[in-house]
Amino acid sequence: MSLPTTDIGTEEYKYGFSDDVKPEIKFEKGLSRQTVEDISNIKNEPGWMTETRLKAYEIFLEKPMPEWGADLSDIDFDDIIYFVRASDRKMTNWDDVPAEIKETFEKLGIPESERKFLAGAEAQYDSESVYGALQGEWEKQGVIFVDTDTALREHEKLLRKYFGSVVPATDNKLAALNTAVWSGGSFLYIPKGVRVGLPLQAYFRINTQNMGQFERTMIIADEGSNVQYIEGCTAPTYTTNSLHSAVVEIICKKDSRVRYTTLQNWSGNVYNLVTKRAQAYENATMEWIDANLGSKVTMKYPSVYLMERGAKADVISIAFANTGQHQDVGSKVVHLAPYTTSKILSKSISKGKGRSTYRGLVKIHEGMEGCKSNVNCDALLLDEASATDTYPYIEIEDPTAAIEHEATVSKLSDEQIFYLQQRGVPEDEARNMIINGFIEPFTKLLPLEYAVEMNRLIELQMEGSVG
Amino acid sequence: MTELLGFGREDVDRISNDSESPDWIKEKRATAWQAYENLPMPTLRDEMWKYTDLSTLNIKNTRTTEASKYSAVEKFESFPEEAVKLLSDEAVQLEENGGMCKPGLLIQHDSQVTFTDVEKELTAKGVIFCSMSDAVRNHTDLVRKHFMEKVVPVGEDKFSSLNAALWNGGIFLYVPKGIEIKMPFKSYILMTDGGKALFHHSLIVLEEGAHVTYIEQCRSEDYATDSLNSSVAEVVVKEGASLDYITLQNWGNNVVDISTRKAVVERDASLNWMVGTLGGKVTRSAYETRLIGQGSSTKTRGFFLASDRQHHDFWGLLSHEAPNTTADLLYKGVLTGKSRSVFRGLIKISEVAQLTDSYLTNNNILLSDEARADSVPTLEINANDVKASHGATVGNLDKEEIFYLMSRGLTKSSAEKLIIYGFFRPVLKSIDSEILREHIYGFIDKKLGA
Repeated sequence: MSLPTTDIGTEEYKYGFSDDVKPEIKFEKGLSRQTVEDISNIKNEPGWMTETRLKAYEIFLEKPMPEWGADLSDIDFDDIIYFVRASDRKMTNWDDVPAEIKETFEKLGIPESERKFLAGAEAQYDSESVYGALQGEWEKQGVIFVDTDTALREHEKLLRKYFGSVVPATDNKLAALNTAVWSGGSFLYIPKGVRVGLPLQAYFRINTQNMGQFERTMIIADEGSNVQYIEGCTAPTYTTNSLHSAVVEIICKKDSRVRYTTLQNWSGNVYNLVTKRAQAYENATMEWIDANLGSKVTMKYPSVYLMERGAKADVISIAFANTGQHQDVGSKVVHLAPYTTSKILSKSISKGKGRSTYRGLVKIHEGMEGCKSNVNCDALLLDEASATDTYPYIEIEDPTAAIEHEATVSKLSDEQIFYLQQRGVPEDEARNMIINGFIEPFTKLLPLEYAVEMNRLIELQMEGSVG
Repeated sequence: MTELLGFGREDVDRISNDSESPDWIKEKRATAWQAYENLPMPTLRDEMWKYTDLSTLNIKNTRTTEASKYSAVEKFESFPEEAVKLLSDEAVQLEENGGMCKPGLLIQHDSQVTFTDVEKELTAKGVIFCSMSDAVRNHTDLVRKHFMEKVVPVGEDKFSSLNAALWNGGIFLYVPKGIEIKMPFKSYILMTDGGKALFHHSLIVLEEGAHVTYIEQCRSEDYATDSLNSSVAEVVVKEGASLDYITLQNWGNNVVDISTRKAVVERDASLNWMVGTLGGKVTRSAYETRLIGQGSSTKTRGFFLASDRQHHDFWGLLSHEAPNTTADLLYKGVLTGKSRSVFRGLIKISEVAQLTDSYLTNNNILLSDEARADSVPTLEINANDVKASHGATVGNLDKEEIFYLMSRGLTKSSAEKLIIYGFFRPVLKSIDSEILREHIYGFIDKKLGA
């Protein structure tokens, strides 16, 4: 067995450092119509975008905060900085990135991983992207992989066509907020029939205290294309709270396949409230691979709307909630066409006083014959104070549907630990092995380097849990 | 929005002015009415009512009545034939038992108890089985300790508050320490016309080590105008006692039924619910069980067969509040026509409820294109050394199974019926009474049009 080494010493959250970067532009705290206009002006945006933003701001004011789910009462929208520009221009050559920022990303291992196995990378620091690169081969085939601000300048027509078409500003309060103050994010377009063999990566970093990061990501996979996108998130550990509220819109056209992988590892002071949604057309496949390890509170339910016959949704998520964390995650699949299938696998681990929640919806509309859906939720509770909830909603309006939902809750099995101990494995290692086994259906879908990192992160979270 | 219900303070006063009603009951009614008026009417925006739209109901003109059109009788045979018609199976059973209603039988026509018979020997031992309105007068001390106190307190929600203000039907069953009775206590609630509003409030208390079965059935003909039925039951099962509580709702097609049954189960005690929802127009039934004593357990077996435009909304709570408790809920339904079903279940395990096992399962079969089944089986787990799982399925009849049976010579409809029987079997086998099982099978046959 090739388990990573278990020498984890006394490491803590290793991305908790902050950098002394003097930002080019840093807004005052607080949100007003003026803030929204200022963001748009700084970016020299076309008029329609400014209008879209202002309209969304009105919607944001009208919409109530979600009353269900995690406790969001600590969020003060006036105590957040809505825009920070770290560097005055974006680099395409790693050597040109300002030294402090470069150091940050080098600590996080971004350029290294890019060299090794990525087809392209984007790195966002606070509000805007500081670095972006795409390997020439894919560029030649017409793949567009830029930050969303650049996309608005260089591919306005394409962006305008899809912006807000999957997640309208009216969807929820935080989607409205994102639409009003969005900045950065990735814009990815894969032309017809192009298969990008290596994953594309984006990296999101919050550095400024009380910062709100509102990236907007769009992926448009044209007919028959194929792409894998990976995003990672970290932030320094501050005592005050930060807010990360992204919107991700994905369009999977006929026969395309998109895999979107998230490794969320925000520090324990970040509220992570994200709206992610994909539309899958004829025979297209959308895969969400979602890991939530960090943050104070995460509310995220990657969803798929199956728009045409034969479309398929595959969602695999894991959540790890340690003391002080509430991972309120899940998935939503709406079957809007016949013969569509969906599969949701959710695995959660609660440790200490952590709470993990699965919240999901499977809906099959009337007349959509031959739909299939399978939902599986497994929760593992490590300590007496750990907690878990499961709230699956199943709404079925067609008799030919085949729907299965199953959820189990259990603790780490004493028998399994005992068995491993008998074979000479120390207790802490035995626990790690069992947990790594528990999340294996997830890790095996990650590129190798990430899988190793993932197991390492879990071990980090597990540290000191024996005794 | 127009008002859903048309009751007023004068309805409460009319019931309260009944000279035989004790003062503490009058006070409770007044408090409850106040609570009812202050609480908002649930809408689709309320999570618990998300799938049941009350605003479409036409029950504003339903009225409470104190007296039934049938007068109370001493002997079951003395009912007019028309009044016996709904109870044909019971009549057969009585005949077989030589006219004896062992251990107890209670019949209500509308809100009035028209027949009571309890085995004399049991009364001598302290067993009480009587109407709720008699109980508040004659057994005040026993009743007052539990009545609308801890199990379903006044003001808990809109409909139970309305029930607490306007009740005048319902039963009181009290079983003293150590008494064990095999045969079931039975009660019937019969509605005799359309446009009625019935409010029942029942209380069942089992002292330590008592073991009994209670069967409650609601029946009526189909009438032209809609009626409202509201049953609230409070159940207390004390240490080491066990209760089997069977409810069969078989209203005519014009009855809106919004009912709540809640139980508190103490140390090493057990409560088994058997829930059958067959009739009614819109049914909302809540079953909440709190396992508050170590080693207590509960089991729920439920089934429904919905047709036409019937709407069945079920809510089941399994609340584990002590260590070593177990719960198991299985709810199965078949839907035809344009019917709709809602299943909502919650396993709740508190911090102290270690070593708990809890299971929740909901299976639905959709037989028609226009039927709809929503299922929300949920878990809230705050202790770690537990086993909890839930499952839900929605599907249609297995074509291969039908083909297999047809290749053995069965017609399509009888093959389908057989599979549906099999589907319900895990639930119906928990009913001991053969006569009751036959009654249910007869009903299923009628509904499936066989």
